[in-house]
Amino acid sequence: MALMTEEVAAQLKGEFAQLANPVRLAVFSQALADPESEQVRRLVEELAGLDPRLSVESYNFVLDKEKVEELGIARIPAIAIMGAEKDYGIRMYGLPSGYEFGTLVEAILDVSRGDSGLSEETRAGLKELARPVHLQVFSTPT
Amino acid sequence: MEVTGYPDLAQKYHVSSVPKTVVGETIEFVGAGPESMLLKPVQQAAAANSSLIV
Repeated sequence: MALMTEEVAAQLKGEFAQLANPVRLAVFSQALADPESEQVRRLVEELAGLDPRLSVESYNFVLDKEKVEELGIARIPAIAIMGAEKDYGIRMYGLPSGYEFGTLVEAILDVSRGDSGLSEETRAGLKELARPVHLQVFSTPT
Repeated sequence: MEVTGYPDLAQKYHVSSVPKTVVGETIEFVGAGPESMLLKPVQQAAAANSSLIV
């Protein structure tokens, strides 16, 4: 059974029509330890099925240790949103439900554009950074 | 990060209201704002890191 309604799927197809470049979605789950994470895997697989420019790689958090390490996945459920060539370091943890589902779609569109949409002033400030900075934004379901 | 499933993180980063942003483990603020509000903490975190890591 599909997780997304036909209506939502149709709306998303419309959104994804503006995809500029391919986007890779890597989803990490583990059915035994976290049945909920399987829902996320199914959702991301359904999402990727909506447009040929979206691809999905599904990994097991316990068995696929190499990938977990490579992408710096800390817990499950996790989704890495990456460009075909470039990983911008965007990770989503937890259930992408409610408002956060929109955040996931936005992240896909941003990565596809390869542009953050930040102002010139912010970009100039960020260029000066001496080292990478880890940003974490916490939310709750809405 | 949807924090409901991660009570350990909610506790570690004192998440009581959302959205809560944690920059480089030590700098934190609550609420959404313009990107100019975010630039300074990011710059501070990068500077703090460089003095901590040898």
